[in-house]
Amino acid sequence: MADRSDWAKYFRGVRNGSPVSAAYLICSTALGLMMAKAGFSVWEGLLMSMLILAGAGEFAAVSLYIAGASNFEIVLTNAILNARYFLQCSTVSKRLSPGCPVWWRALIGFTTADEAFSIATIGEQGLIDYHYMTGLNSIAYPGWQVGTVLGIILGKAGTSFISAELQASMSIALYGMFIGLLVPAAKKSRPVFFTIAMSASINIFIRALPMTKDINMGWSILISTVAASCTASALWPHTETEADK
Amino acid sequence: MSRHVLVTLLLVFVTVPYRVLPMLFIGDRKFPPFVNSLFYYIPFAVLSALVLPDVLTSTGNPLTASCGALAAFVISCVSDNSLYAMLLSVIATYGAFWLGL
Repeated sequence: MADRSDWAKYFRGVRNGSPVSAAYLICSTALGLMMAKAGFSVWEGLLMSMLILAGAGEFAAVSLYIAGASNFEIVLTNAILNARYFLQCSTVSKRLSPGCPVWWRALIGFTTADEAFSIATIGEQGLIDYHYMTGLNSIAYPGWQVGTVLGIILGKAGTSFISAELQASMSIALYGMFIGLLVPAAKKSRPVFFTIAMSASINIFIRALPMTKDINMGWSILISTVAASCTASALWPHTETEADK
Repeated sequence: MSRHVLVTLLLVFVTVPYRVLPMLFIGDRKFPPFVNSLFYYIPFAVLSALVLPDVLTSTGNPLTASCGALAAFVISCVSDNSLYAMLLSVIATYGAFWLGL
């Protein structure tokens, strides 16, 4: 049974997760606006955000939808884009404090997305308390859902509520958040800086060359990711904790 | 079933397992050092590839998008909180539109 200190950890998670929730609110509103353009109803959009909870993945899926891509292409792109969640949840799983029941671990995994993961793994040293992680996700997850619904409603209301320029401006929100995650990390670590630079360079290169620029975005991201991360891992092996050595 | 719902259900198969399976099976397993390093670097590589070059086409106008990206970059040089980077990027982009870029 959870004792008082467990609740304290939970609420600390909620506190630390509040900025994440605010960020998700804005990003998901931008997503909702795009979903409205793609013809999603509020329920359909909410369903996707509740089950998928993937900022980049949902954006990619919806924009491919608008561009007329096939279901296969949408799923394939997400299969590649979302692969990072396997690594993120592996990291969380390895560092989660003991005593967490299996069903609870699964729930934590299900509700963990990019920024929540970053806050938890970068902000905490060593073990991540599972009450803390739950608190974090329990405020971040609804933020994403509320924004999605809000965005769809506003999108359907048309440009009377939100001008086209404002809609376009909000679509940069997710990228702004990612940049906000990448730059501080790059500042602190030369290997990380290298990884980021190499991955972006390869991706830009692939998308610029006439012969490769039309391949599925998922493939170019995969190639860039694999090349950059393997190079970095070879040049600068990284050990997270003593247990990894 | 609408296509929207169908796509969502299909996407579940390429999202949920990635998140849930490691929580069930990874736990205490030991991995070779190279794999541990990959675990560390891949999220940065993926996020980076997600941002560039797509950020430039995100607003429909590379100029306004660049303003937003630049604002995010500058803010995140001084602050670790990605919320500020995100907010400033939206504001800067809107400002760029408003200035007629």
